[in-house]
Amino acid sequence: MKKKIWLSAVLLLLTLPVSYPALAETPTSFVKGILDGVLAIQNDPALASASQEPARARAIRQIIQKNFDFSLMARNSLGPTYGRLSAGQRREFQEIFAALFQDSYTRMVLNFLKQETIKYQQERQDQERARVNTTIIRTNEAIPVEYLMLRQGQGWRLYDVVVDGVSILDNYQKNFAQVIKSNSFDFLLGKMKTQYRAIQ
Amino acid sequence: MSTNGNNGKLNGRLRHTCITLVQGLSRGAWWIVGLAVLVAGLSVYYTVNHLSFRTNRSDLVASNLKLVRQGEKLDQDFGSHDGLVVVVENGHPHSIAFAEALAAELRKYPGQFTDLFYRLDPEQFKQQALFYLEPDQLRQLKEQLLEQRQVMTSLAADPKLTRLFQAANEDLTRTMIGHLFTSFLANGQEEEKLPDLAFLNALLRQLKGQLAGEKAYVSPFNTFFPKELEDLSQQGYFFTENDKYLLFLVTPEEDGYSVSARALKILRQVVARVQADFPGIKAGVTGPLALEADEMNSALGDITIATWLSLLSQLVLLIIFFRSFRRTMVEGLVLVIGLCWTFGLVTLWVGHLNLLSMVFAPLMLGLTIDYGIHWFCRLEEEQAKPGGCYAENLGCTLRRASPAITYAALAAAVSFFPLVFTGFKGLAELGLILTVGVLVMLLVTLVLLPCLVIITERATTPQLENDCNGHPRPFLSIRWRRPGLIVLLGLIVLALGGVSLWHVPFDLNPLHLQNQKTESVEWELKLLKDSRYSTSYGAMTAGNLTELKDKTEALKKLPTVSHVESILSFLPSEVEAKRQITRELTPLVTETDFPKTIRKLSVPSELAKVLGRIRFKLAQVQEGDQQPEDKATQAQVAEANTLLSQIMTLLDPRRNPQVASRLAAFEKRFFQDLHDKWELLRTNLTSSPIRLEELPQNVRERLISPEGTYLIRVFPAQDIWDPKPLAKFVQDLRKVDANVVGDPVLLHVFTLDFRNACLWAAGMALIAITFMLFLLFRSLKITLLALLPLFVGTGLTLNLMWLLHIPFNQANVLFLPLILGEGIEFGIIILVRWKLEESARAITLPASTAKGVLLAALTTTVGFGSLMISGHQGIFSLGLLATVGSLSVLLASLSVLPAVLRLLEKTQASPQWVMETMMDLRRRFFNMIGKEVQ
Repeated sequence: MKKKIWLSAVLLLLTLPVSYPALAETPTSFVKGILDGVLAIQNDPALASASQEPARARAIRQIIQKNFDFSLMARNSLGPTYGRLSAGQRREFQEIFAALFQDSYTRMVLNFLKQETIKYQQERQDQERARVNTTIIRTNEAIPVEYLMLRQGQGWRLYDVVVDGVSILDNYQKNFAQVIKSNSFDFLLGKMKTQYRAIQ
Repeated sequence: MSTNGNNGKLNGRLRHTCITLVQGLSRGAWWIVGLAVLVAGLSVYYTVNHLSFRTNRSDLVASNLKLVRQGEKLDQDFGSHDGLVVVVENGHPHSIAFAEALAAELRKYPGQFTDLFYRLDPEQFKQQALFYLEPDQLRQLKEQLLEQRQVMTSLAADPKLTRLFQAANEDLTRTMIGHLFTSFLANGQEEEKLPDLAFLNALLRQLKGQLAGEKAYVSPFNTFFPKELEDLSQQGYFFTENDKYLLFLVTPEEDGYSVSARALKILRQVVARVQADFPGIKAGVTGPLALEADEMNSALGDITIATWLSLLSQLVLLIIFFRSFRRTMVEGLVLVIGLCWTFGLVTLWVGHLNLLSMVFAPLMLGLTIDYGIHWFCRLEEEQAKPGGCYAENLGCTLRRASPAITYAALAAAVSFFPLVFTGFKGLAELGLILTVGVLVMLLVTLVLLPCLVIITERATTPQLENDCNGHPRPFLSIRWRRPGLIVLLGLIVLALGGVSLWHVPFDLNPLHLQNQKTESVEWELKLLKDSRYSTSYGAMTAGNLTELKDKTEALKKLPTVSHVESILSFLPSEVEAKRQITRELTPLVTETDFPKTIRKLSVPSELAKVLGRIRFKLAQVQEGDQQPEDKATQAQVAEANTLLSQIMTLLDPRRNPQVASRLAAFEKRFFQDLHDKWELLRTNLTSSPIRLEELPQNVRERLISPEGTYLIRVFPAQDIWDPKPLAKFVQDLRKVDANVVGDPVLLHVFTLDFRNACLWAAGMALIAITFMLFLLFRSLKITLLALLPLFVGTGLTLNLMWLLHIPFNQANVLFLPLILGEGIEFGIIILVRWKLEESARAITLPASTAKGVLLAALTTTVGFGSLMISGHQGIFSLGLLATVGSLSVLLASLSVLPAVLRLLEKTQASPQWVMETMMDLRRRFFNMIGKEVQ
């Protein structure tokens, strides 16, 4: 058993370079790199059993961690409130936001991405920003997923994913704004901290 | 004895009377019998043609005249509607069709059923339907419309099924994303939940059906819009609050019991006929009139059987004791003729029988057969004398038996007479009938019986100079060696009876009296148990609408009230608050306009794609970690997934070549339905609430009187058959309106009044009998002796009631005044002979007297006991208690009374004997406690 886990870790290390953004890569190849990495983990027979789910989750989480721009996402999710925060508050919020997002996205990947085929469709690029449309295909069903990214140096970083017409970032914005409106930023941060502790 | 002189005079008067009577009877026996039979025949004819039955409980209760008058006024003002209720179990899919078929059948009997009330046509209220929603429901509608505003707008711009499912898919996705990423922000119940799939599933069901070629269309919008805006063809029927029963109210032509009973019979026949066309449907008839008629039918049937059983068993007893079929037949004929005469007089003076007085025949037979028995027993004794001719024996019997029989009959009449003054019509009529009946029976016993004996036994005119001194034998050769012991036991039984009196409960629950097997009772109990619906309610009136509103509000606040019905129940409440919400709703509805017909239709393949996306997510919900916790949502998700799989197969043109045309047909129908619902919603928003004068006539005539007063029906929240909740319910209603009436009020007031009236009548009868006996005997000692069997017998009865757990109830409490006549009779029969005849005193209790008492008691027992065949628990308990009471009094009459008389004889004969007896008792007592007597 231990041997199997060790072998899986080696395989994971071997696949990791694929997950890294290659220099001057296209948006589509960037997304493809991420999704291939994730599917490789999900379809790895050594990690297939239920007992290996934490290992799979850790590996997927690493991919997410490296390919999303949490600073931008945290800022966008709060909207105008972000500007009113102190540097310390921003840092704390960003750190917790990143952890919570990674946890949620990991769960989404674990639940939704299994044996599916990914079809890469339209790519739109506008200077620093790009969109890649994909479709997750199951037997008779096709779910459109759109990846929104921002150029960073030679590579790209994701800042939103739109699943079947629904933006994850929009969901954050709408819900955070509601909580801040009915309570306060501190209340929101308190809730996030509670959740953060729960997932640790 | 100090009364010897008086007795001599009395004896002389009686002797003279008897001589005259025997002479007259001997000469005209045939004439008298012929006349008696003729009068009996006329009585029967008159009775059959004129005697009616009154089953209404208000016919029993006239003590509280104000309450009765108020009830009658209410009946006059608002009519006696809905006396019969057909209850239909609502589990059957065709219960509404059954109701319609029943209505169609019943309309063929306009003479029997003047009104059928089973549905309020909701079309009349359709344009004001929103006003009938609760404000919270209106707010919920507003929330729903706000939530779906974008969907509605985009659907109005692009009216296609594909667009609708796209919106549903977005909604589902949004929820799932929310659940994954921000569910931690929710507090408990606010957590992002899966959208309600009721509408989606209803739509998918219809889509699947139509794609499969089904024709029937059920609007999926029934799950979205309030039910008041639904297809109303299946609405407006009367269901109990939990929808378990459909109620069909029938007003029969009401003209007394026989008409109601006939209408009930026809109704049951029609229900059975219609049921045959709806296999599996369960329905039954109940309601106030059905309950009354069933109770009366059941009781009448039971009483008829009991009367014949009573007569037969009494005749069998007579045959056994008299060992003469002829004499038994003579006694039977006397009873029948007496009964016919009594019926004739009852019809003449009273004109009807009520629920109580209908039991008079077996009661009276049981009581008055005794007179003939005593008469024949004495005749037997006279015939046993050596040397006497038949005529002499008859004359002596007349002379010697008549006084005791007359006293006993008078005592019985006196015991029943106080019932006339109880203030209860039912009791008063029963008292009058029994008093008259006893006197009639006395007359036929003293006049007709000797005539029949003269005819049947061919007797000649008696020798009137015979001294008629009896030569009695002692009863069972008992020598009464230990009379003191028997007296002591009697006194102990009496004392224990006093203790038992405090332990025998009084069951005031009238439901315990009913025959539980009658159809109406069964369905009434079902209604009460399963739906808390009762046909019994408190009723009050209001002079104007303000008063009506105030009273209704006050009543609704009472914890003892389940719901209140008045004309306000048919008018919308909180109109101003609702107007405010409908004003807010107006822009939401008016900004969107759905076309009646659509131009662009959905393409099956596009629709399949959207449905596939929904199924993708719902499959994830069903299998993944987002599985809903509640089972209802789990079931919704499972159903949606199943339907989606089936529809996607049906959307494949290779498998379903007609898919395009079927989808198009469904889409057109669906959007026309949406257009109609939306227009109705718009119309509702601009309508004014319905006004009083716009309500249907059948509602108005039930709840508004011609004088303009308003009826309020108040339904209890608890089981009002139980006296305690009933008292609280009535007390609460009286706080709102002191003049409240209705069945619960009548029940509360008259249950106690009735019990008290019976107790009062028993008390009065006891006083009257004591006074009468004192006048007859002119001796307090003899009077008390005559009462002794009654007291000891009653004590024994109470002890047995305690031991056998027989409670008093509204029916058997009647036993108290009735048993007085019986209890006193035996004492009188024994005492009169003991007092008048030296030969009887010598042996204390002559065998013929004891035989008469024994036979009389046994016939009374079977007379009362025959009532125990009744399924009506009240009549049964009366029969049971009266049987136990008769036997108890018999035992006391044949043991304690003779023992006391023996003691008296010995005391008069030898004062020394008293001392010896006392010493003997003392010795026995000390022996019992283990002490030596000095």
